[in-house]
Amino acid sequence: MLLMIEAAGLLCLAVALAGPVSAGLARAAWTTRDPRAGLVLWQAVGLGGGLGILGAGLTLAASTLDDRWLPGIAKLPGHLAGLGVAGWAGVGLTLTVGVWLAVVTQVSMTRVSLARRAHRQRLDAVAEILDPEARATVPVGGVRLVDHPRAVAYCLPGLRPRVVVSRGALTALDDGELAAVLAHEHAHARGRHDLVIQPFIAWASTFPFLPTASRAVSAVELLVELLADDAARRTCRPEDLRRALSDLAPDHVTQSRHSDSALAFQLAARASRLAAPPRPLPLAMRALVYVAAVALILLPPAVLLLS
Amino acid sequence: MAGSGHLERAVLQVLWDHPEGLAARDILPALDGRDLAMTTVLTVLDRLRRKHLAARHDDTRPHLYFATVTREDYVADIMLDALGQAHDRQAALVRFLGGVTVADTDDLRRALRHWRPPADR
Repeated sequence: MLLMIEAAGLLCLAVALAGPVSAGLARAAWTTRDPRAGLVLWQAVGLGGGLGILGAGLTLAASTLDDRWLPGIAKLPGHLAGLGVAGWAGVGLTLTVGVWLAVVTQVSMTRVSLARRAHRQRLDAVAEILDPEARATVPVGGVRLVDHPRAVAYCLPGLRPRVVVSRGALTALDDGELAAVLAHEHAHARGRHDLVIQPFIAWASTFPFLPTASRAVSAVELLVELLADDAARRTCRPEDLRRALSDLAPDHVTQSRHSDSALAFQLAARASRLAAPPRPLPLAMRALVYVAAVALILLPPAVLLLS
Repeated sequence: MAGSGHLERAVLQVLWDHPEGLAARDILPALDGRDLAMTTVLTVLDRLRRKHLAARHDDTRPHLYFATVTREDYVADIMLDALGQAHDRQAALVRFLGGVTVADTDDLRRALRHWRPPADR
């Protein structure tokens, strides 16, 4: 009986994390004061939600075989024939969600890595590696230059990342702005921010009907940008990065067009944060966030193992 | 193979500098400062042809090699790829500094109207 209640509890936890908790976290203002803590909590919410729904099915199945969790799980493989409707519903839930999650994640990761490799190969065929002498006061070593008039700077992440600037960006940005842009992009490459975002994209494509899933992707994307902004701010002047943002963003982004509104919001959030950096999160609050993140992952299994 | 991309780039540059076409043996001296075997150049040319970046005229003797895309189109296509991927949440290929908009990619796509991207994409 207790196990069945716990199974229901896990399901509620998963639904709460995927629903109201994600929605609340997406709206929370404090995350911009400490993007790293915000991202850790997002990861815990995602992982906790996933484990919650997988665990709920297993626990429901185990509850039909034993009063205690671990012995119930251990009996599962040998007693599949004796499972009742509730037991099969549990096994079915876990298998369906687990397999679907694994397949979607794999497909999405393969797609990204193929697209990246193709892009990197094409890029390497024409991109010059910037001569460190090209901009005397800016550390441009290893940066790839694409000869195109449009001002663009980006990071192609991966094991062999590329930080790319166009000829247009070199022309449009002064030394300070260029240094800030490169620091921002190098932070993306070094921090493997692609790996932070990837699971949320997989999550959003596993549950495309969940509005919170796509909101989670937007929120995590913004936090990753803020993290890179913070890294750039440590070596460069925030005004330089802010001016670079407006130099590289096309004019019409600032006007609110529907298709660009998410991007416009992100740019506005970053620009205002660079202009007036928020106070860092108090230590106690930061500690609380990390404790909550760890608790989200560890508490459910602890409760199950003790019952 | 380390540095093979570098060689492909060098050969592609030579082909771009000679729109009238070049025989393989004339590519070798144009890659100045590199001590390469003829077979290496032929391998690189094969690789470029597989990527639909170079073509060979078989009815001339010696065979002439051409770049199938202009440098400008090739670069524009890379930009389009990067900008387009920035919209594709599924791919999340690149992290942009400022981000890009649909209008950006539309502009580039218009510029590329007369050119089809290589088939290996």
